[in-house]
Amino acid sequence: MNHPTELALMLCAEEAFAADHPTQVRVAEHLAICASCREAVTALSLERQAIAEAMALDYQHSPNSAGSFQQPARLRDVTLASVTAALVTWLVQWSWKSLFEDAVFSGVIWAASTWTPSLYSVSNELFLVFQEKGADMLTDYLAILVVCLALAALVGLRSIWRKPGILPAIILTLGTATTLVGLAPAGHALELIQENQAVTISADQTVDDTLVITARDVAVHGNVNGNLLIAGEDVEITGNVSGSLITFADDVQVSGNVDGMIVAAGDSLELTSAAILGDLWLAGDSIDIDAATKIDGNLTSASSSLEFSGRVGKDLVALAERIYVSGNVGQNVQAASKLIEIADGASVAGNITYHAEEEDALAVGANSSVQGGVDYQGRPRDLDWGIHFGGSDVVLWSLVWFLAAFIVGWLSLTLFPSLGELQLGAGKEALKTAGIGFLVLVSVPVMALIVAITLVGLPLSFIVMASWLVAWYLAKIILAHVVGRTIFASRHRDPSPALSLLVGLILITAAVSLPLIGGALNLAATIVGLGLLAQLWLQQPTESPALSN
Amino acid sequence: MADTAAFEILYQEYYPRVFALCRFLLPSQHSAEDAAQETFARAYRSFAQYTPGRPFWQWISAIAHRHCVDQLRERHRWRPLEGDAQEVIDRLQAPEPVNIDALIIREDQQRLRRAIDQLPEKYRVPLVLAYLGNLSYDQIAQLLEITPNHVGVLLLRARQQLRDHLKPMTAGGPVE
Repeated sequence: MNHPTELALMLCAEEAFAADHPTQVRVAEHLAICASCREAVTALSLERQAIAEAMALDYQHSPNSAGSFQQPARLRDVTLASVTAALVTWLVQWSWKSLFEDAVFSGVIWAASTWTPSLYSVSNELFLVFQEKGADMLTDYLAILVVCLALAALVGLRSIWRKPGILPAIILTLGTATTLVGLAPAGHALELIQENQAVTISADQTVDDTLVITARDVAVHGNVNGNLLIAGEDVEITGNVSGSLITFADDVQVSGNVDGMIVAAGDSLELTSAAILGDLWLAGDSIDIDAATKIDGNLTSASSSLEFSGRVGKDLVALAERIYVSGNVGQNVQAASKLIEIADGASVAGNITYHAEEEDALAVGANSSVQGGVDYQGRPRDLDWGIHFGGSDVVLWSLVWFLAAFIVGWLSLTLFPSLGELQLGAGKEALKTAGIGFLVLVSVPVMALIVAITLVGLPLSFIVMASWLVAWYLAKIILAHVVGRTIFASRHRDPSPALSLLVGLILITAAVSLPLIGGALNLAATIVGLGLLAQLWLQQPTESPALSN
Repeated sequence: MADTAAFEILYQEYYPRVFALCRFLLPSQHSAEDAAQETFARAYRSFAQYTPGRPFWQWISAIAHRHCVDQLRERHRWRPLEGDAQEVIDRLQAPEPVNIDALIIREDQQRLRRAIDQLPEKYRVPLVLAYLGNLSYDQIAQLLEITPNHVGVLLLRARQQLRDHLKPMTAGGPVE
């Protein structure tokens, strides 16, 4: 008799094959007629049992006590723990330094020593305090905001992906590390000079920091190796500034060299033999730039009158009642004015484009040089913010707003699902929501202003206003989602948040774009949306029947 | 993720078995301890995937099997095909009477356990998976990325090596 192999018998004994497998069938047929092989199969089964029991014996040699289960330290947990620890440490340090040392001490000293009931003095003080304290605190507040947003983003990611993977944890870690590095105390390379009367930096003086001056009369004849910020009444710069010059004053005279740009606002702005390597941004009643002044960048100005006799390397962009150009313009002139005069001796390397009441408002001297063309673009456009239904710009703008609103709304609803659960009640409840929204719309800016004039409140005021603006933007989006859900609920459907949002946004966008009543609808939608957000924040949602009913 | 208190109970109950399984599959006590801890950590994290009603041992031992085999692969210790060329398989399939007297049936369990410990990994791993883990041939084949037939061959070779190792005792009484 030809017996099966041991392998075949073992496979049969261990039921490795299905009953209809050819090997299994063949072995089974053989076992039916062969007693010795049946005995072998039984023995093989017992052998297996013996081996299994021997291995099971090893359980007894395992550690008697397994100890307690140690939860795995996941990367996310480690990351969050590190971030939290760093945040708490930093908050303690910040609270001590910014709130106690800077704010309280400085505030007491300031209030006790320098108060004078003068609007000018108060504005100077506020400016100085903001420069000295507010900038740092603002950075701190913003950093907290960034960290909070990062944590909120992580929560959002978790809700999206159920469990956060390594990638978001790494992103969070890097983002937070960057933020914390950015929180390192800013170098106080800032020199502050505050006087009620006059401040003079003599010609032999050199300031190697950014210099901030608030005083009635300011004269800088020396060198400033940094930026120069000045708030005063009369400002005169004859020295050299290696950075940028920013000044707000009644009268500004610049005759020195500025390596950066100049931003100046005042009653009278005068540049005499000045050299500016950057751009020039001027706003004032009268602006006068003499022939010896050289500007390498652009000149942009808004004033009652502009007299330009110097050289500008790039464009001259001017908005003024009267513009007089007798100097050289390296590129184009763009102007909006009642009267534009390109005097004899002036040269314009590019084009002249201008808006004026009449085309002949531009007078070009016979001995002037305009290498490009002259283009009259009609009357200055009125600042008409009304809705021109069907205008291409408005349609484009509405489309952009719509797309942005959809993306922002979808992200908001995904990250903060509670936003999607907001409901607008009927009757009095809706009026209550609108009332709360109106209060938020009006009162928050007022409160922010009140907070702003307190010593510590400048950054806080900024945060309040930023939050208010965010809520203002979100208001219509949230209302759109509520509208979309309500429409679908009335048809006994339960669509996705994205679909509800899409439908609601289409309706809201169309409504606020309607002629005549669009503005009112826009305001109403914003007020109601703000009310919904405020109620969510206050955890007092309006009672209303379920939409699905 | 599991409820920590409930999982602690499961941990206390099943750790010895998981450790024993890992100890048979891995070369050292230390690596077995690490593997057992990692097995429970993975189970804790993916507890949502556990189907209530399914034997917990079946679920967690599957995690342990996979982790241990992965460990062996990472250490380049798992080469099941080496030394098992086709001619060996052919020889095993050739007609050969089964010597029942040589089978391990009434053996000293401690000696048998030590013999299992001394098996090469390519034989010990399928043996442990089949007889301690109670995995089917198909499951073992899938885990080790070999064919079910090859699983049978490896198991038979493992048994034959155990018999060879224990032959002095089974033939002529205990020999230490």
